[in-house]
Amino acid sequence: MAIFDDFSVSATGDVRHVSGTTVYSVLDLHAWLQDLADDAARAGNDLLDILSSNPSKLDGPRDAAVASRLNLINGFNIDATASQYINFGSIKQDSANVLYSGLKTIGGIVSGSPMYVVQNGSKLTKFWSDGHIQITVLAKTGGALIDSGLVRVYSRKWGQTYSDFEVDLSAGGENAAALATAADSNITLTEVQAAALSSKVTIAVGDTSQDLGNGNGSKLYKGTITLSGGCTVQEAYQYCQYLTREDSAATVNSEPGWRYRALNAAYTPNSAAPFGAFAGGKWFVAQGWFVTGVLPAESQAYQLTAHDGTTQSPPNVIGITIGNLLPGDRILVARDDGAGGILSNEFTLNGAHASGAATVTVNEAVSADHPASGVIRVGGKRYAYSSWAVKTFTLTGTLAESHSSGDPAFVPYIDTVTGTTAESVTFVYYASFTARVKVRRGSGADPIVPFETTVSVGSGGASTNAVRTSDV
Amino acid sequence: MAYYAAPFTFDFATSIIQVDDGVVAVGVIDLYDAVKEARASEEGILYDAIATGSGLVSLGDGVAVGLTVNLLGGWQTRFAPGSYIAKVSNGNLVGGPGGDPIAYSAGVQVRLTQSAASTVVTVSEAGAGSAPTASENAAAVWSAASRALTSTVVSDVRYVNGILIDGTGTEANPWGPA
Repeated sequence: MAIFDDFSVSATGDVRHVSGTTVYSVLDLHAWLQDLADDAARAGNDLLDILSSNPSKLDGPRDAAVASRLNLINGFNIDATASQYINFGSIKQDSANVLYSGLKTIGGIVSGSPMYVVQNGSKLTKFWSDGHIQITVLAKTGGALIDSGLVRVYSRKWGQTYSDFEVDLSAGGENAAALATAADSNITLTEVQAAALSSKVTIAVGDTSQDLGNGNGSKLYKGTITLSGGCTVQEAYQYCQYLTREDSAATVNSEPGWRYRALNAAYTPNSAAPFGAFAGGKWFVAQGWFVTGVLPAESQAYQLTAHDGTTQSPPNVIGITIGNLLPGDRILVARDDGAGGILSNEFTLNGAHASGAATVTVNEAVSADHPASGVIRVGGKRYAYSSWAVKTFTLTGTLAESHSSGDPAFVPYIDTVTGTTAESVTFVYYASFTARVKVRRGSGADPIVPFETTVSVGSGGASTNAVRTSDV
Repeated sequence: MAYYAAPFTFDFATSIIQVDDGVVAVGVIDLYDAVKEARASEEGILYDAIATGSGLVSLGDGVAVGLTVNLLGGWQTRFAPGSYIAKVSNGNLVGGPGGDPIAYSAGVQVRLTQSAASTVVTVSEAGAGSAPTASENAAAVWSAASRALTSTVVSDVRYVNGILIDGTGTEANPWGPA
């Protein structure tokens, strides 16, 4: 079939698609109209000849290798249906009050990835096949750009990573949307199975300040994803992908799931996964979302980004355990100073501290990897504390004596006389370090030669057993 | 930082084991008992071990190899100043800075009794050793002396060498016939 079979031209300049499925370029249309315009007489349903007004002109060079910008003039025009069979360029008509702009997708995608175009908040009715598209889109009508000429092309197919790209069609010509899709190996459920997770995953929008306990304090989030019923992090990820797939009927933050991109306009969306990507067994949750209800075994399987843009990782709570003890043993576990001793000057007192004081303030910021409660040694004196924040320890009692400004202080991880056969402490992992372990028993039954060793405390914690050698 | 275990005060800052004033004789075994207590104390565990001990290996029959206490690092024992002769005995005390386990104390001479083959004889309390204690000796004597007071002695004063004694003990009727 040729273009003159597929289109007609009325006496009033209406260019309409009448048959066929072939899509012609803008330049083809222009060439055909010009061909008709030099005919001696009208023929068939193409009522255009030498006596008619000039139907079209090109803005710019006539080059088949580049997208054309066609002006339909003197009342000649196409309609929406005709535009579906014309691409590779733009068409202006009605004295430039109407503009059909060219739109195409480029990039590496899974073959046949379906595309949909959202204009002014609504999906355009598809007239194209799956895979890369090259179409024209009505960008201006009645002299006004539709949504400033902006459209966004999406590809969100279940089982694939998602992609979207915004294009400005206001200038005409042909504009490209770069998309990238790939098979998503983290999608292991069917859509039906994913839909069933609605009973286990609750998504609620609203400000919430939460402290992950990672030492960064309370942070503002704009929404909460609550997991329940044994839902895994990966299942929650799949459910969120389900909510935002092309065919989604869900609403997220007051907008359709199929066009949801981010919780806040100020956030940088994650095109591949609007609720955050899942990789390496970890869900990198999109900015603004707080996640709760995560299974204990998956306490490290997610990462958040607070409203302020800071990355928030759940604390890695680790432990140090000393075994092979007997009731009455005295145990000390503290940071090693690298010279065969304990790091007894980890902190220095901020100002003089009078006897009876209930807090100890140091000059140095206390890193996250100190026990939430425990013992602080000030000038060697042992004081129990119930909490700490930033640079201040709150004691369970009071200082038994005065301490001078600058006096050394440190926080042992274990500093006790045990009543059992093992002692342990838990704290948030911050950075690896070497701990010095001392176990002594000098009075009572079965004194032992002082046991002393070092252990490397990594992200998995550390443990060791005391070696009990009887002393004379 | 200091720790007291009578009659010793362990000064962890100066590494000195100060002997109480008036104490002129120190047993090494007692000293080491105090060392073990001090180094496992709340203060002491912050520091290196004060001393090591060796010996006291049983040789049988309540006899053991003598105790040798080796003071580590800068640790020394110091007596209170005065004009007297102090004694360290009942084991070997070695170590200290420059191999000197005793710190200078004005006017005090310290006699260290050292032996390359010292032994310790364990007394028999609780049946552990071979030599009885003084109290055990006293108890044994007392037990022997008082045995008649608590036991029935088989005797009949009417007989001497098996012959019945008669008479009334008067001149007219004397004891007899023995």
